[in-house]
Amino acid sequence: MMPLNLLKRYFSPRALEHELEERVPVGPVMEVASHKTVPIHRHSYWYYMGGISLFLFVVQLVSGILLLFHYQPGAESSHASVLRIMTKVDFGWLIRSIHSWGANLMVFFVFVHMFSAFLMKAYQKPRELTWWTGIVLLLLTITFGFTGYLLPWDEVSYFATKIGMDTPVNVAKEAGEMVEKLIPVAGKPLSEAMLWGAKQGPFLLKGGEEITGLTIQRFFTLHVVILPWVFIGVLTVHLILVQIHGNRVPKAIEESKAYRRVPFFPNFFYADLFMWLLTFNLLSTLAALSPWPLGPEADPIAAAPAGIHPEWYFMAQFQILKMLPELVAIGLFTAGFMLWALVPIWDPATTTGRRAKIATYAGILAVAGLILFTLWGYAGLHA
Amino acid sequence: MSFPVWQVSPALNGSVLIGVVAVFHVFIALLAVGAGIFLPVTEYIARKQGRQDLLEFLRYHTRFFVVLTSVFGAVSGIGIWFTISLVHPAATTALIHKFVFAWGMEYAIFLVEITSLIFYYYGWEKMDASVHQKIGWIYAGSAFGSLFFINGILTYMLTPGQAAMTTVTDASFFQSFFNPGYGPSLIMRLLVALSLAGLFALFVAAKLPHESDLRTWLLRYSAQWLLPSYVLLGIGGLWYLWTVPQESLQALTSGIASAGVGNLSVMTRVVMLVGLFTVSISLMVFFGPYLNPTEFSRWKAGGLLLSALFVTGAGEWAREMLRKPYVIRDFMYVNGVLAATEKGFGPALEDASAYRQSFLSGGGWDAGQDAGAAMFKNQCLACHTLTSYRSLREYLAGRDEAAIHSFLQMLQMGKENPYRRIMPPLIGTPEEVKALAHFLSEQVHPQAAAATAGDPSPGPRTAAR
Repeated sequence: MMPLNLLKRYFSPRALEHELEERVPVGPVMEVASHKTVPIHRHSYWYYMGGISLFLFVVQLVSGILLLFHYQPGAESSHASVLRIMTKVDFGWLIRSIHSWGANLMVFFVFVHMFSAFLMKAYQKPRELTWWTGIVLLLLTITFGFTGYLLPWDEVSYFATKIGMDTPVNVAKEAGEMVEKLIPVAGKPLSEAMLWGAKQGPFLLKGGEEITGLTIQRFFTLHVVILPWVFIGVLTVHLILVQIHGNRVPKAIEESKAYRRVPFFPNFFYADLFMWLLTFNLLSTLAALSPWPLGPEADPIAAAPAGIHPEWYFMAQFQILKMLPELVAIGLFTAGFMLWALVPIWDPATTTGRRAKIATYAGILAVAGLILFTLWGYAGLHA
Repeated sequence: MSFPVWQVSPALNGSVLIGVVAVFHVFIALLAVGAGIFLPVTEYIARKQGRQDLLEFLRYHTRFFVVLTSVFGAVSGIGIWFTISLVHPAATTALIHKFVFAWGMEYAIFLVEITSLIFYYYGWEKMDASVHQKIGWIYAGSAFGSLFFINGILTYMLTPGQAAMTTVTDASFFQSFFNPGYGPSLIMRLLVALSLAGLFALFVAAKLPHESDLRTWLLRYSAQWLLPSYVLLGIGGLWYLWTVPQESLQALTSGIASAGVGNLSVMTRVVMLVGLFTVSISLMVFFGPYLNPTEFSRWKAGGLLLSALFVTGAGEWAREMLRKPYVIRDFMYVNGVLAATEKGFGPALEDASAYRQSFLSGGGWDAGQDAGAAMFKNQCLACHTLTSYRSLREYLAGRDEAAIHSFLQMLQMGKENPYRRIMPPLIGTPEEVKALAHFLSEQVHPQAAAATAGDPSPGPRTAAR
């Protein structure tokens, strides 16, 4: 009897819980979590989008760490190591496919999360900082995509990066020509200064004039060391702000009181888990049935392959760039993005709601425009 | 070449057609088996607990299964017969000769299943409770019975064991029917059937008003129908793999290190997805309707059902692929060539001349046709299409006619043929093989073929009668 009593005393679930609580007091956290509620209404499925984006970020971290065991950055080794991952390492092709498809899905869900937050007016006071940290996370996500794209060092990744790196210089050249025409004397030195300035960013990133092994090294450092930590920092602030302010209920639903509240833990947490599993199914299906391809090794002296185009999330911009002068298009993107980012200042929840309505129309127009120009871009590739 | 082969279209071959029909039929059939057990068991619980609301729900639930089983189940079942007899008559007739008793029993039991279901549905209000319950048990027994019989035939095609045929009538019926794969397959199919019944009940119950107690009870109860799968599906899966022939297992693992084309790596990927989806569906049911019934909605239930449809389809597809290059393991290759005949030719390269007997002179079904096209239709189309599923235009891209010809000659090399584990041997005279190479080259490079259409080069011969 004695050993059994000892066993019960020290190893029963309650005893273990008590011992754990003494060392890691999770009680207060659970207390806070039990008071947090989530509004449930006819649009509440949009609340899952942030959680799905977060889940995909975790998938990226885990799959990225696994890839690090075999990936070797360098002009001589990048492509060879990815090829080895794809053809020799057990389930290496799967991990790489999950990483590549996961990146695309993450961009997609971050966009959906952003547009749904925008249309639900989740940027209005007091959630301005949540909105701005979200905008930073969007930019970081896209930068993750851009830096990761070069790492396999195949033909397409090389030329896509080259086009991306050349864009600021091309825009500066166009702007410089205009400045020279408009300002007779100071125009030339101003134009040269602009060009010099535009070259510095790409020069720093590339580690020289050309894209070389050093560029891979720098992109790799950004992709696996700097960006993840910056992302985690901003994400932490974003999540804390979400916890403080809670989910935004659309105004019409709030006024009609056509919603109820459920505890975040466990109700909404379980619902989140359900959605994460569904997302993982989608990701696994894409990765398994359409493994991410690896093109021939990059050859910097070869001509760019015909029909080269950016990833889908830059396709709308690519199409607009084809239609407008580069300077005008980049100016439009910059102005549009600034307006988008600064919308909490322009529409801080006024009593009339007029600005909020205008913002809604602008949001719908932005979504429609992105879809339209993306489709137009793809149609142009097959024309 | 004892039977004519039906070419559906350049983009659609028989295996795709069978696949489409079979996936829906298997899904519906397994759902019907599961529901056949779910309904009377739940009725028994409802009557024992005196729950009128639950009985009302079951009555509503039954109506759907009358339509599902008697219309979609029966029509898609006939659809399978129609399709296999057109697409692979040689294999169909071999199986009928061997398993005519089992098929007859399956028909008879299906008739009992349908009849009892109709009585069960119409008897909800008109029959005494105990009689209705008894009819429910008959329905459950017959639903399981149809699975019991068809399972023997399906598993024999992959795992004949010691009962592998050399002729259609050798080896005893029972030895063939209770083949090595029978047990694990029956258990796995039964578990899937019970899980599908639970998933479908979740879909129906999710429609009930949120505030109703019945909804919460039903969601948690239906979720528990997946419990046997949590515990036993993994064990059943391992047992099943243990019975699968070593060569098929090697093909199954060929996609672990690489996802390249030219092998059966896609099978590895699909089997992996089946396992993953099975686990994730179980977890979704646990975190969804079981732990959190209030927030479980109908569209989530729909997502679960779609995932289950995917698992069923992918699992059936993988089972079919595991048989490759046979249609009936160790007896008949997918192109209709008999394995025994091949063995008679001798496995060594010096006997390979035996592979070079005329194929097209066999039945004369394609007399007058382009010989290459006839060879393609009879020996390639069972697995490949020209333009879509396992597209030859994609696989042979980059090879000219000479390279294609060399490849085809390799398929006549017996044991020396590196593709023998995934592709059947090619039978045909040197002229027939050359005609096939010419035909494939034209199909793979249609523009080049069009450009040289006016050339007086020796054209393809026609198939002999």
